[in-house]
Amino acid sequence: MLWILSGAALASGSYPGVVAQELTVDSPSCAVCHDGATTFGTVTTPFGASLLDAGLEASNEDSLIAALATLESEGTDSDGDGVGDIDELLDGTDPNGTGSEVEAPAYGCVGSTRPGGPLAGATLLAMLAGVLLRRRG
Amino acid sequence: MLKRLTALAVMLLGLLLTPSDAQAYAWSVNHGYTTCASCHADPSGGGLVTEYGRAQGEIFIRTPWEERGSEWEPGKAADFAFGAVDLPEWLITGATIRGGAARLDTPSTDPSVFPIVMQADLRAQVTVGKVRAYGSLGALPTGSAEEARVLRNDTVNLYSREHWLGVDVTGDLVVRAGRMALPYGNRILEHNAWARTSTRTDINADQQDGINAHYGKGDWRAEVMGIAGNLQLSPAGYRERGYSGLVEYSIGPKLVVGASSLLTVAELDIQTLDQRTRQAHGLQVRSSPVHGLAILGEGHLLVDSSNGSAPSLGSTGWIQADYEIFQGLHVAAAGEWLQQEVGTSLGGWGSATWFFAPKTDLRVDYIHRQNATSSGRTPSHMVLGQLHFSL
Repeated sequence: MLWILSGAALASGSYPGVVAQELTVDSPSCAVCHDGATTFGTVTTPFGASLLDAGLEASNEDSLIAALATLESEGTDSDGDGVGDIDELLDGTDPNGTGSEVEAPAYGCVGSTRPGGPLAGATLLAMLAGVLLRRRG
Repeated sequence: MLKRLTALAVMLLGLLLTPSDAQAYAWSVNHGYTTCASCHADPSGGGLVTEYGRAQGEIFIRTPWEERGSEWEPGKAADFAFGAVDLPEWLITGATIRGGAARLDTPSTDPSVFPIVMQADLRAQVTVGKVRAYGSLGALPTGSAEEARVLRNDTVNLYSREHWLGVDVTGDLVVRAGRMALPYGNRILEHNAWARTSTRTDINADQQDGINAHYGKGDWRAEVMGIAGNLQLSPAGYRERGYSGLVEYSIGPKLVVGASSLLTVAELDIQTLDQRTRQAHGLQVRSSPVHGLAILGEGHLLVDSSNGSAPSLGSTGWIQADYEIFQGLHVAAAGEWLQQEVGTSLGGWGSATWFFAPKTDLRVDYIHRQNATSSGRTPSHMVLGQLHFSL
């Protein structure tokens, strides 16, 4: 019953999605937090450091959500450009001070799997299996 | 009939609700497999295995608990769904689940243990004459394997790592178009090794769309891909265009040497948010100097240029020794490095994998890394346990 795990806490790889979900923005790039390789121990950008100061932990989505809330309530401005980090993320600008406005990257089509949920894909595959079984019969 | 269909639907649903894995056992050179096309639908290996590959998995990968006389054959354990479903000749399919738990320690965080689900893919290849259509589909929680995501909402990713159309032009030449793993270096299972992540050539989610030609004849194998970018990534400015390719030569039945090259250009790099040109050029080797031992090594020069500035040089590499204590039980040690402008990161891996049952293995890894940052190296320790099951 391994699939029970899929709904539980995730590794830090889920953080861009958490930011996107919490702030209703597209997933930010890795470079907004990571300096160098996107691996553990490289969260050293100004914004990443602010998140750590606000209690961010690896592989703890709740800590990320709490840290984002802290930055918002305190108006943290990691790059000192006069615009708070959270506002910069909402505006699609870089909270680390590049000053450029870029559209955040996004993967896949935005859509809802809710009506059929993930069941929609399973249904398609089950139909395929049904076709195969009928052919066999 | 209805019961069987219901059972299969439930099984597929379970798979879709779980993340999955790719098989890519480069240590198969220990068993005399210097190429991958005989066992995998992808001629460079990884992903869906052929009927022949399934049989070999039973014959030389898992621990044999039964007596194997001269008449022994793999039987239904090697078949899709353990023979519950007969597949037509034009269809090969399979599914994998890989999940487990990890414990991570870094200086900036408290030690934490967390579950990991890596894959839940259903894959299939349909062959009509010389034409092949290959696709994979899976489901993961939002935030995982994002690069392969095709549909996103608040709770679940639907993702497809690979989907391509191919033509077997001749028995030696396969031309494919679509999304597939890049031909570069050794196709190892350790997808977050720096040799893979720094070149963006891992088999987890770094696949790209493009046109690929694979040629294999005799002791030679070559593959080149024109990269059109990850079409699942938008806006288009983030997509990398360029090429990736390799050439390999089997010096003997247990020694393969090769060279790889990659160049990509992106208007807006996904990590640096700059216009960026990435190059990687390197050598790889797979060998089995003594029975039971496989050595996998590769080293690559990294050339990086942003916004037209002078290129910066770096390097990365991976060397792994895998020893099969008895059939099905592997222990491995690996070292890696990543030299970038920010500094040189060093890492060491210790692994044990036991293929203890048909299509099932248990793996434990310890990974220690010294990660270079602009303020010095920071250590990290990870213990990872995972169970892998395929159909």
